[in-house]
Amino acid sequence: MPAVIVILGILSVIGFNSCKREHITYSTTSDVNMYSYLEQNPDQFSMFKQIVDKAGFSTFINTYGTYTLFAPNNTGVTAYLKANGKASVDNIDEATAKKIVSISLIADTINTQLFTDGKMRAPTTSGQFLITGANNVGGVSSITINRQANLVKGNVRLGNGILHVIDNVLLPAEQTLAKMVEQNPNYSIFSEALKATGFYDSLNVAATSATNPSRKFLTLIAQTNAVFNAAGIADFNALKAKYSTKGNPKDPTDSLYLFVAYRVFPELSYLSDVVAASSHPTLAPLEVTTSMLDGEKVLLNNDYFNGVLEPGVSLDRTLSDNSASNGVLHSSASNYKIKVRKPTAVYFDFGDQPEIRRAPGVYRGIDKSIVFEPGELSEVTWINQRTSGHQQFTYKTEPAVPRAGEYFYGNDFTYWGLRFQPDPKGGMSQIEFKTPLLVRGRYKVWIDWRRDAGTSPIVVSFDGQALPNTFFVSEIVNDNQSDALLESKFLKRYSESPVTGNSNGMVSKMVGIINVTTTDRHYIRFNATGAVGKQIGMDCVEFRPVDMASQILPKLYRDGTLRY
Amino acid sequence: MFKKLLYKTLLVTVLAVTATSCNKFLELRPTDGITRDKFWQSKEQIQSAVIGCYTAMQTGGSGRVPTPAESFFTWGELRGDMISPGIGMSIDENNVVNVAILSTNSVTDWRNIYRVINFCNNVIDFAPGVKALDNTLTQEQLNAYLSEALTIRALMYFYLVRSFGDVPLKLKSTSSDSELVQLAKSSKEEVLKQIEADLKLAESYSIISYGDLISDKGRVTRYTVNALQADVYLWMDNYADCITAADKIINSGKFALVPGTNNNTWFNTLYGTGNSVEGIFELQFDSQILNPYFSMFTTNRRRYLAGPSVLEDVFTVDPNNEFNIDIRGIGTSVRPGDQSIYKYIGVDIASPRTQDISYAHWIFYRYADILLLKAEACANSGRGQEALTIINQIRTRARAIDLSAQIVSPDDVKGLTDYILAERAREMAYEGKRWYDLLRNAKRNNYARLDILTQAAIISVPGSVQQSAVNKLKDPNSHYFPINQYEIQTDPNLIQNPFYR
Repeated sequence: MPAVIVILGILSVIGFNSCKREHITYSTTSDVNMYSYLEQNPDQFSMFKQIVDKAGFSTFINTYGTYTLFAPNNTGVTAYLKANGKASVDNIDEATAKKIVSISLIADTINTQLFTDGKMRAPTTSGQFLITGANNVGGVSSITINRQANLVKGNVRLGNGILHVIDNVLLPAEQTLAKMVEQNPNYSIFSEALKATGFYDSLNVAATSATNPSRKFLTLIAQTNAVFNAAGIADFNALKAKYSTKGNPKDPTDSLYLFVAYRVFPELSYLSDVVAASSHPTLAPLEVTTSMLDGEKVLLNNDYFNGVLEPGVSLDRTLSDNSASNGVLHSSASNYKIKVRKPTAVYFDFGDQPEIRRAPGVYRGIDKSIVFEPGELSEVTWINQRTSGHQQFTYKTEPAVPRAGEYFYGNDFTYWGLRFQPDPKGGMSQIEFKTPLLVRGRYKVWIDWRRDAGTSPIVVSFDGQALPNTFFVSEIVNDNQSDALLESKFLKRYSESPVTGNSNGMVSKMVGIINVTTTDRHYIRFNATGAVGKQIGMDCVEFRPVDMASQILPKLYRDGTLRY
Repeated sequence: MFKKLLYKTLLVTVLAVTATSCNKFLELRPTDGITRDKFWQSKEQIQSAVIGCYTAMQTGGSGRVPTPAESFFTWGELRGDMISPGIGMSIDENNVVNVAILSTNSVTDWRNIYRVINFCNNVIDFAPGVKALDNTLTQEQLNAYLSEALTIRALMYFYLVRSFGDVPLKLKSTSSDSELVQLAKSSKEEVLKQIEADLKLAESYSIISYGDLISDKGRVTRYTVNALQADVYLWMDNYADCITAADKIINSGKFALVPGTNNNTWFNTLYGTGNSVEGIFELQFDSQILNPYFSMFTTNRRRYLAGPSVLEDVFTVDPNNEFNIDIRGIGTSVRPGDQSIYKYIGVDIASPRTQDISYAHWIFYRYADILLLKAEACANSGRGQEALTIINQIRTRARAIDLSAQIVSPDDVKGLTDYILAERAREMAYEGKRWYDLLRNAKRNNYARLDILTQAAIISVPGSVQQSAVNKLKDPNSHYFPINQYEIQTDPNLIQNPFYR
């Protein structure tokens, strides 16, 4: 009997406990994926969920991955339905639903901090880029998406990416650039020019059906009739009479053809992209358009050329940044065309950097010395081999009475690191400068410096192409030799240094002939190959057109002038 | 035999009892600190608690939350138009510059500011109780301590209300877990009203001098209260009271502008050494507490540089004579060679500081600031000529060059506002004032001068996000920071600021 009680007791203990389940959380997060999120919030997203269902994207946006979804809330979908005269979501056909969802989805996680004034960093699944911005209505600012919707709530982090709630439905652009220009009566002159030159057809191909992958998206800078009129061009005939040199605008060498071609960038550049890069290729062969931001103004072709500002044209912000199915349409505020320039000599002082010029009294001041760490100069980059002092770029100027034997152009020079030499001894091993604007043409490149100890060749590259000649810092310019003899050895006396009995301390060497294919700013790079004695006073680079009257004159003087 | 055993037992028992009797193993007090009921016993302890309020502004609490001394700079300058990002600037800071602030942005973490407020609340709550325990504590002495705590608390709330708008108003100390409260936000007006009341009380409690220079410049005196009042009243567009407060300082005869005849001496006296005749209230960093500014402005990972056009556009440069300079610009605010912000990292113009002597003071208020605050109040209350006189006084001291002079008629309020703002940009450059100056002038008369903020954004925001920034700034709600995510999560009563929901 007692045994039975014991057994009963044991059984009851087991029995009571057997129903208890331990609660263990097996998942690291309770975040749901996008589709589930839409399902969980029917008060906000029931209508968008229907659209997603119709488009057949429901599984797709519920799989794990890195996505960004712009989900219109029910108010937004209702507004869209109302605007399109549709009674309910059921009236949206499958193709439209697919379009709506694919333009709302990006295969990347992009939070609102990464929104700019222009396109997002990744395209939507429809291929088109969304643009962001901000606008202000009645004192309330909101972030805008594709100029079609406002952001209601951003950065909802979900299992498979980020969801942004918006207040309207996003739709892909339907019109091509050509159609967009054609249908706007303000662009009638420009539209006729597009048709006459044949660009209408090439600009009328939607990105999805483009065959050339590098021409899917284009940037077109159109011009309103008012702007043409202001430039004295009343209609298309006047435009043709003014520019068409060959009489046939379809001829690629005709100036009207080039006039239009120059306004097409083979890239997708919203205004924020236009100002982010300093130059843009165009469809006019080898012609680039330069760009810059001045305050709020986007300026094209606003260039300093040999130190003189050539004012450019500004883009009309209100008429720009219009998305088309194959690119973006901007509008210029005044007429412009390709500038015809002859190659001109450019004397590029290594110390002529914007950061140095900005510092008052430093650039070509008296007895200055300034060092820059990597990253502090916007137009010079260098590779260092060691830390601290070895990697600095030094800008120096002469004292009131220049030091003996120093005849630097403008009395200033630069040091490249503690030593301009590669490993293992360390120092700076490579340095690259952005050149001033060089006009299309062929140039001889002369490197000017103060002679010093060192016999290892330094390799000069232009736009990444190594030039045939190298130079070493102890090259000798023998003052007993004539200019002609020296030039045959690719050397010359470039400074105002008087002719001495033996070697001239200021050396200039021609390192090769370059073919500048686009009128633009280019890159010149120097690579060290071996040891040098100490810091070398590097002065400047001369780009002299090959057909210049003299490769020696004018010479570069201490006071910064050029003299014959 | 039995007796012997008894003695032995007794002896052991006595030993055991006596040996352990001193060991308070039932005592729960911490052995490495002091608890509140053992503190707040003497006036010396009040003094240490008060000094702790100052120290709390210099050092952080825990973790990587920015110290108040750092926030004073970042909050005041990041959204201004005079700095540009250095190599070491963080993404969060960059997003503040770009007007793309999320509630997760660490710049908006206010924990260390409220830490200072709690220190002050402790003094305000518990110091009066000491009077009963310490007979040597006079009422005047107690009031003086209270005035310090009240003023520092007001200063902290003034920073908060200008940066965040509506903030929780915590006026009681948190000294135990049972006192943790989750507060809702109070409106800007309520906060400002509290600040105003605290300062009125502090003014009546405060003393004029502590008898030594470091305390007179580093601790709250009546003039500190007046300086803060001038700033607060101007923020509230109460021009008459601003002028009254400023005049109390001006007429005291205790302050003057440091002469600018020699720019090196001027820089060394005002910024290098500090505690000059011009200083009213300076946060006293010294060899024991170094300031956070060395790594912010020097080293090759510095976070901020002077804006690229600051020397040219703000201070202006004489193209014909490089020695004709505004002493506040080249070599003082900005080191021209590498565009460093130099005020905090120079002993004098020629000699920069090293890390071990990085203890330039943070100047909350100085005489020139007060003069310009008064000028602004005068300009807005029909006393334009006085405003112009003050501007000229400031310019003469600074040897400002003619290029930066403006011809403004005394009744042209808009012109005067622009002139005073430009002069404040030169005079108070990088002293944590710029954004507050811009906002104060922009918001006046129901945002009549919103263009001041958008113009500043056009100068400082990079091209890729410039238009967005300008459009965001047109919404007044964007002028205040979001409440940090950490606070939102820990206090369910806090509602996020409207622009960031």
